[in-house]
Amino acid sequence: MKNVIITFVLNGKKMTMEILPNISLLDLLRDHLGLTGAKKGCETGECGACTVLMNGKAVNSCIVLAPQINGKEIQTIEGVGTESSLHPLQRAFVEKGAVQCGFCTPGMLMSLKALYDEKAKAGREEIKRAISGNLCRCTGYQQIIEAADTAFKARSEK
Amino acid sequence: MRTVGKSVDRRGALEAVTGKTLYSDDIKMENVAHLKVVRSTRPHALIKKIDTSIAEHIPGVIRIFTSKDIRGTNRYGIINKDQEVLVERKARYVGDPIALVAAESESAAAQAADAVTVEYEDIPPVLTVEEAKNSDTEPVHEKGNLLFTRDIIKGDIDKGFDEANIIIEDTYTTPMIAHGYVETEAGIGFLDEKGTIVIKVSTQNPHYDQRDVAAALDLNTDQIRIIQAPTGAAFGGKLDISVQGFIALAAQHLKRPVKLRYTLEETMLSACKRHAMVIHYKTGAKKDGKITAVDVKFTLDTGAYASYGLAVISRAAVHALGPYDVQNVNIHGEVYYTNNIWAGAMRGFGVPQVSFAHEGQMDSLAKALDIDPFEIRMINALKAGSTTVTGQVLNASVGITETLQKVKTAKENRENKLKSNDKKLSPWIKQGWGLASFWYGIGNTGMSNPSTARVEADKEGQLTLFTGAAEIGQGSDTVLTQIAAEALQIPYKRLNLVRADTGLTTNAGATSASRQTYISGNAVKLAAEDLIQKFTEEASRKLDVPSEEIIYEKGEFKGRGKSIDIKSLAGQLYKKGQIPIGEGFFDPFITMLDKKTGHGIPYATYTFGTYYVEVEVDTGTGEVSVKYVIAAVDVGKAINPSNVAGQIIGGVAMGIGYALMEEFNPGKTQSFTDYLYPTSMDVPPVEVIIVEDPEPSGPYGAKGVGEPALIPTAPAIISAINQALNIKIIDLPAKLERVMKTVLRSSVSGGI
Amino acid sequence: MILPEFDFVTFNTLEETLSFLYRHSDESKLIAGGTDLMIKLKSGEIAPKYIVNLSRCEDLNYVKDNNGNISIGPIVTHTELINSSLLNKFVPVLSDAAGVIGSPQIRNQGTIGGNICNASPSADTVPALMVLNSRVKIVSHDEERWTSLKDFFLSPHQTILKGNELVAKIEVEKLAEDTLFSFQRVTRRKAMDIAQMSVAVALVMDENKERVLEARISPGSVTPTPVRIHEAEKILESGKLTDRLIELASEEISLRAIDMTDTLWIPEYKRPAIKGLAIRTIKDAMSKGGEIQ
Repeated sequence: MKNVIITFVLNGKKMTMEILPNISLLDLLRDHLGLTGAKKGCETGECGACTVLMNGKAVNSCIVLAPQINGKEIQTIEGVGTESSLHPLQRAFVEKGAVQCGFCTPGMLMSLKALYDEKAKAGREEIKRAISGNLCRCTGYQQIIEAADTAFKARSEK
Repeated sequence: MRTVGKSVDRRGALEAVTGKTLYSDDIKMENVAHLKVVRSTRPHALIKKIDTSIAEHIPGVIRIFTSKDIRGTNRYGIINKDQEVLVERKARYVGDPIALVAAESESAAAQAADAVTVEYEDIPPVLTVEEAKNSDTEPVHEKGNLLFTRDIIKGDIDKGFDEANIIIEDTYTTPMIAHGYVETEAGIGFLDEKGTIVIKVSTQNPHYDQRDVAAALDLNTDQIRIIQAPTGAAFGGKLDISVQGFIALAAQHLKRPVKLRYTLEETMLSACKRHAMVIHYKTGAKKDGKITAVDVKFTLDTGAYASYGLAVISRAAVHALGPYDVQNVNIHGEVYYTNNIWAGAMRGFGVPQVSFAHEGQMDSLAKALDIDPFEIRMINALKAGSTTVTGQVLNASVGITETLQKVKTAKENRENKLKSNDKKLSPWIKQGWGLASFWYGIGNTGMSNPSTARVEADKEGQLTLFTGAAEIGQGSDTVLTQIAAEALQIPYKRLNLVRADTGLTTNAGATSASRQTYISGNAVKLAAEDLIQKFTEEASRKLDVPSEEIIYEKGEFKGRGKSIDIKSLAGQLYKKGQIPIGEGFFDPFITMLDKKTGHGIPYATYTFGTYYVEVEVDTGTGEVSVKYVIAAVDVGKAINPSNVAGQIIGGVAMGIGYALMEEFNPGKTQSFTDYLYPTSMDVPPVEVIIVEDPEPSGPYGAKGVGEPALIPTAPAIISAINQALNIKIIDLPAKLERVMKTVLRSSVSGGI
Repeated sequence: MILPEFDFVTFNTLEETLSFLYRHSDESKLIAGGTDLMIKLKSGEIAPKYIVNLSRCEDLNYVKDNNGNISIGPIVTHTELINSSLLNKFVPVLSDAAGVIGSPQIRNQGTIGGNICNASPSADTVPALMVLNSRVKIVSHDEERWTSLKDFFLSPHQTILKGNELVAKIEVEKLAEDTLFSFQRVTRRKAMDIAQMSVAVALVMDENKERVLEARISPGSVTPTPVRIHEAEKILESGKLTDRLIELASEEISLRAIDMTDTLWIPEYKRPAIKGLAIRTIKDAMSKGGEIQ
């Protein structure tokens, strides 16, 4: 099995790596890049806990083959904001009670960030649809939608 | 109050939103070995031979363990110790663990696990309760397939039915379902400098884990330390021993770090499920709606192992009547072993099942007697002063009627608002609304289940709450800290928390039975008060004022014009070689249920509630859409209202799944591809009504909400579908095929 | 995730890709989005020596207006189909179908080529493509051939593609701009679900919007390979479009689907439900035309 060389941008930083090709993007992030924010859930692209952004679009990193990211831009939750400098979506999540067990949270935020970056305004139906690929068994989604709605509205008002 | 009653930011939320929370599988260690379990492919079979010869030689394989390597009892179980870490003589279900592989990599471990060959000698399996009852072949467990029976007898059932003007009788069935937590079972173990096996694991009850694993592997409890890692939800599925036994076994022998994470398929295959039930329910009532007699006979399939079977059947029996006052009741339940996947605790513990039945009965009564569904429940509702089915007098905090009234008002307000925008529906869409009420006892059924806690001050006066209570997303970290901070009169953010670590905390009991707010909440409050008392005594000495004259206020102890603060007092005590610790212990007041009559005080307090649901049914395709929910729950006191709302909405979402789409079929259901539960598009707006009928024995009046949140959802949805189609659905889930069948059978046509 | 070993190869042109496929035809699998491929690799269903990456082949990535028809490259993602103004204007049924596939994540990654080549009987783009008289261009290193979409499928999960071939173009007919389209499906939950059944409909109406000049109907997930139900189409075209006609046509769809399939394939539920779904779909198409009753 031949190594492949991938060049990509990770959370704004240019990276070049030589890897064995038979690894998912999720495992590359978690096991080789120390980024455990993207979670391992179903590993069949059905829960969204592993969601990251690839060229600005939400994808299930568990079913992206690492070599596929060559030439692409990857964003993970680690690149969204920090405790001292939260992204508005992150802050809204904390304020609106959108976190319970927290396991779906990074994936949810990435799906919402894709929408937030793409659209200046988004209504509740659009927000709901944006997270329709992220399963949550704890919250019932309502406070998550409320948080995103608040963040969008706050930006519109500025 | 400063903190209690406020929706303060959740502890752990900042870490979660920045991706910093380290769940078990996120924890990295050097030189870690990977574990993989080899599981039975037969439902009931003797293990004749385990051949590891090929597997052992796969590069990267370190060791393969079987039951021969287990030094202790090799037995565990949350109630009955009938489960083995690795089976010795026979496998009892497809998925029963037979061997454990340890390897240098995940892929080597998986490869080796596949290469282990097991020689089985099949024993006829029993796959239904009927088969288990009537089988004459080797039973699942030595004592026979009947695990337990529970009876509750009140009054005179025959007299009750004689008095009735109408009798409603039906048999309800509910399926096995899965918990659906997105974080599968996972843990990592290593030996610390003292040689103690330390395991960080996704769990609901670290102190129990410690005890059972130690006994199974012949360790002293001080040789094993369980630390609850941040846990990605559980809903009752992480109370039993799962990865803990395997990790401890491997760490014990290999003396190096080891880790194990179940794949989702493995969780589906081998982790416990909700008990399937068959409930035969007979209700007699007078023309005016008052119920005179209830006779319930139900059976549970607990699968290959008992797990919480005893507790589920007992709780189901107590709750089968519903939140109603009835003089003549007979309840008889039986729980059987089968060779299906084992069933255990899942949110609601038998009550989601029996409430489906008792609310189905109420709806039928309402319809037959032409009494409004709200009215018939109010007529029969328990009140303060009522005597329950087990002979317990409810003194206070019986908010069922208040929840019914508030939902009724909210429904009327909604109808008035909607009158103006009359949406025109396609002719094949039928609308309906439904109602369901429930009650739920807080704490373990008829059993002592105490919690302990302590609050410590360091020499700077910084306070830390120590509690063994596991946070599983339901918010106990936040709520317990709020309660303690309130009692300590300090800002919530100034109280540190150490929790769920057998090396540092004392047992708070399991995070189950919706008990942590009430039981651990009381324990932490008492611990806080105890610390204040100890400081008061020291303040009395320092200020030379009698302790009765000392007043404590927000960190300061004052008397006779003098004052001293916690920081100074703590410093003083440390100088004397003393550590200021306040301790709390709380065990709810209960009595055990009588074996014959079921009489007793099974719970110190009950949560009550009523849900209202609107649905639309597409009679052409059988699809059901839930359009709106009004959810009212009497929680005694909402320590954190946002938290309570989150639990309620989450419970509604889970209930939509139970009502419409969830079914676990052993052997068929394998992953999230075939096990479906609600997405964001499936959950409608939920109007939350928090009712507070204070519980005098609860911390600041609080009871519990975790499981209550789920319970009335499915019954209310089914009630709504029944109204829409003018039919009665008595089997869950109301999936496409079932709804279509009822459409075709009923008077509702699917035409244009 | 544990994956088998393979070599991952990427070419920038179609020509180079085809040349490689010719040399390694039975040991290669193509990857565009990868959503289906990854599942098969994980389960062990496939273990190819080479995985050939198509994402750099710009000559496979386009949505083009050719006046009478529109051609779509196989590596166009479902999200791109949803956002294509060209498709939305002329053949919205295809964008609508793509819009219900899986989840946003799956739609961002999955491609139309992958959807048809995976050949699941419940593939959502297929019924939409069927009512657009879709044709597929298949190429290999030395040959190219066209086939109707219908003939592209042999049986569930099997197409006529040989090991050295790939789909280079998917062509759809452009109908009149006021054609009424609809795509509807039945699922167990409202997102991230495979269709239990689906129906795509295209109706070309007369000037008065009273009669259907041309009806096209294709059900999904009820036959092993995709079909058009001509008998039902004829019923819709037979006179003034009334509820009765719609009901008869929908009944016909149910009957024909059963005829074409082993009844095991159509569990008892699907018989009445496909009829109900067809009625809903036709009515939905009509509602887009404004005043029709």
